[in-house]
Amino acid sequence: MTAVLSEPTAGEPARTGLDALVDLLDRVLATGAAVSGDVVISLAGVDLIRLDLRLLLTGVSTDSAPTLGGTT
Amino acid sequence: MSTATPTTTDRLWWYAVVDHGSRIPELVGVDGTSRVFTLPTERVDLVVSPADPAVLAATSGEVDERTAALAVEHDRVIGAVAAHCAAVLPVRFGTVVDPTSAQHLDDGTARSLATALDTVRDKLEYGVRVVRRPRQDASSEDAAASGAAYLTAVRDRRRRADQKQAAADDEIASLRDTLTRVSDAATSLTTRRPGHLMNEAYLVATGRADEFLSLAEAARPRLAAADAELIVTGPWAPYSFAAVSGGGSP
Repeated sequence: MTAVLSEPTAGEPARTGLDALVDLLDRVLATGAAVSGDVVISLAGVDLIRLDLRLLLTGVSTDSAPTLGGTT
Repeated sequence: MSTATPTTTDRLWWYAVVDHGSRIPELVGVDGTSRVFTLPTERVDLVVSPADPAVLAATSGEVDERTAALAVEHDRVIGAVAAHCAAVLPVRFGTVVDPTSAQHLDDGTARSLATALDTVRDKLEYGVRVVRRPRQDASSEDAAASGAAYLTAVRDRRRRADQKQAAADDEIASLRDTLTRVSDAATSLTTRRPGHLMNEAYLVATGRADEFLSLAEAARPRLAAADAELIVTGPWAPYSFAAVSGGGSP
């Protein structure tokens, strides 16, 4: 499997390609509601600062582009 | 459609929060095999799937290919849920919960999640970045016939670069004002990479998405003239606006 690196249509917001993948990782790994308390067993301890963008070009496995409900 | 499913697993991967009683589509979790379901609480429902220990091992330490692939899968699930539900509050990647205690969220946490869910109801997130793309001009420095001519060429090149930067700064300020007016909220993302002049997220009502995108796109040629490229991504689930306060916040 290889990353989807096709470019989006001009004028359309990107949901595919390297730009979208960078934004996806920025969001998924660094944002989202952080909930604490007894309910939480563990939280991921990933360090976004260390994210090497070369990984995105060479290794992220996905059969299809990330989509919001498959609408794009 | 997947609704509440009793589970015997002792750990659940938590994707998002949805309204109590929401129905979500049939989905597999980040491990590619387990089923995603909703775990009901009194005020909100939690979108979860059994947490594979092998998957959990990839969520600590340095980000590697496996972590990045899991992040893509995490987003796939949240995106699919967002397509079916008016309100979806994404939860921080890698949050693992105990099924029993999750069903009995303390009231403070539950209220905070419900309030946060309301703030993102019927809204989407778009990413807007501006990146420097300096053009490679034919170098008059190489063609300079004398030292004085060379220094003049260098000075001219630097002056042009400063002018482009100032023009880009003006366009970005204008773009920021314009997009803020048609969005419900905006935030700067902390991840800035070399060459990034702007990296922001906007929370946009679904009914204003076309207007937002048109206004953003209108800035593209002006930014290009200033040697900057506009990159718009989305729609995303509202990751960057999923802050919880009070009992649910760390």
